[in-house]
Amino acid sequence: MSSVLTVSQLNRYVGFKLKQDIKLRSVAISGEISNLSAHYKTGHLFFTLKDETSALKAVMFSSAAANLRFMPKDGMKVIALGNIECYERDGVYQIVCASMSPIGEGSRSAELEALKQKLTLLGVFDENNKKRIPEAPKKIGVVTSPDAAALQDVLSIIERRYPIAKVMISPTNVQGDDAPQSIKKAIINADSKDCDVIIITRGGGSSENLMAFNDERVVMAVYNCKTPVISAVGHETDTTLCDYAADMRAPTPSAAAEIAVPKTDNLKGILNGYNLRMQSAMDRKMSAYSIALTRLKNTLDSHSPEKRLDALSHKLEMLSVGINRSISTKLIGFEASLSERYSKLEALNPLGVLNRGFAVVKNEGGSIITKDNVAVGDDIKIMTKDMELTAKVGSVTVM
Amino acid sequence: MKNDISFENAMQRLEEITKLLENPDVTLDESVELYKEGVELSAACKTKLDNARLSVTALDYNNNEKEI
Repeated sequence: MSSVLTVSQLNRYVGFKLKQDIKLRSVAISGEISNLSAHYKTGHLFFTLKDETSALKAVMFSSAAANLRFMPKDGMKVIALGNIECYERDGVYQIVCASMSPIGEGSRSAELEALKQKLTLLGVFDENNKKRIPEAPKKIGVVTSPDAAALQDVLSIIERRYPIAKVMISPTNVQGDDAPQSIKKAIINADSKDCDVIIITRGGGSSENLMAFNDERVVMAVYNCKTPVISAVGHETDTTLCDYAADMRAPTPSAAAEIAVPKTDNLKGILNGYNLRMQSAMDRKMSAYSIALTRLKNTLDSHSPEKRLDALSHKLEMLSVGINRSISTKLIGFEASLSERYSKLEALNPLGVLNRGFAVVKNEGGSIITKDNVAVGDDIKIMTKDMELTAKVGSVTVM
Repeated sequence: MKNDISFENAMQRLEEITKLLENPDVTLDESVELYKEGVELSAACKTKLDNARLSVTALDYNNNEKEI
């Protein structure tokens, strides 16, 4: 560089160079914390990471520090994950930590911790990325060592619980240097064969044997698997990254098989459930239709000609009863009035007087006699109740 | 059950049929047909369950599936 630069220009340039280098992004650094200072106001952490010979400036901003699940302290061995950047003001490079976790003994566990953090940041273990394990798989892929007892456990459980399934074994080495590559290939192979679920499992063994399942290639193969994966690698206590990346984790091979398939008894129960539901739905439907039918039939019946005739004939009957009643009422009235008149007439009947002992006297002309139409010597007729007498007038005395 | 229908598809179809039967809008004629189909499927499923034997295959080095 021939031209003269200011310090700021140089630092900016170095910062730019550091940012450009992909190898300096998301690096995992193991070291011991020293010179830790926590800014209480801002929540940022400033410290130095060091090993036996070197030191590295480190900062962890409050947003990342808030996610820490431990209290960092001076002297603590940690793995910090972050980007290497240039702090231009001081002209120092430093790691800007995105996450950090304490480590135990041994470099292997440190590497594992680092890988775990890296994969965590990539979302490999994210619960939101987990696929649902199907309830009733048709085809189950089993990634395992073919001679492992684990395989026999898985097969016998599936045989017992869900024999209508097909099991496809995707064999792999689980020991030796080529184990990770072999497991990865077996997973990819199984994923290409239309399985509904894949079980990854291995027999027991020391935690050395587990290491292949902590390999990034294996973990990524599980993560990228399109088929849901149940992992039963770690066996209860030693969980592997493969287990974390799987969609479901099982403590033992048998448990994995039990998760993968329903019990046939359950299927029979489900089948019975369908039968009952179909039966009762059908019964309900039939009774609903039968009620509707009865209602329609009633409506129809009520409009039938027969019903109408019945109604008319009933009406006719009512009318005729009415007529009869009014006629007889009238007749009774007539009868009463007739008998009244008859009584009156009867009272006026002259014969009635005769009955009481009186007599009617008529002259020869047949008229009732008066002082003017009778004379001595006339023949007169005397009518009594039961006789007619003829007599001659002897004398007439007008009174 | 038709031979080309798998157990899982049969179970799925049974669920479908049950839901259709439970739908009051499905006509009686349709319901009778569905019910008939459902009863046949369910009987076939039960037979399959009672007679099932696990089938096991393995992938060989050329990634082909072989019965074992």
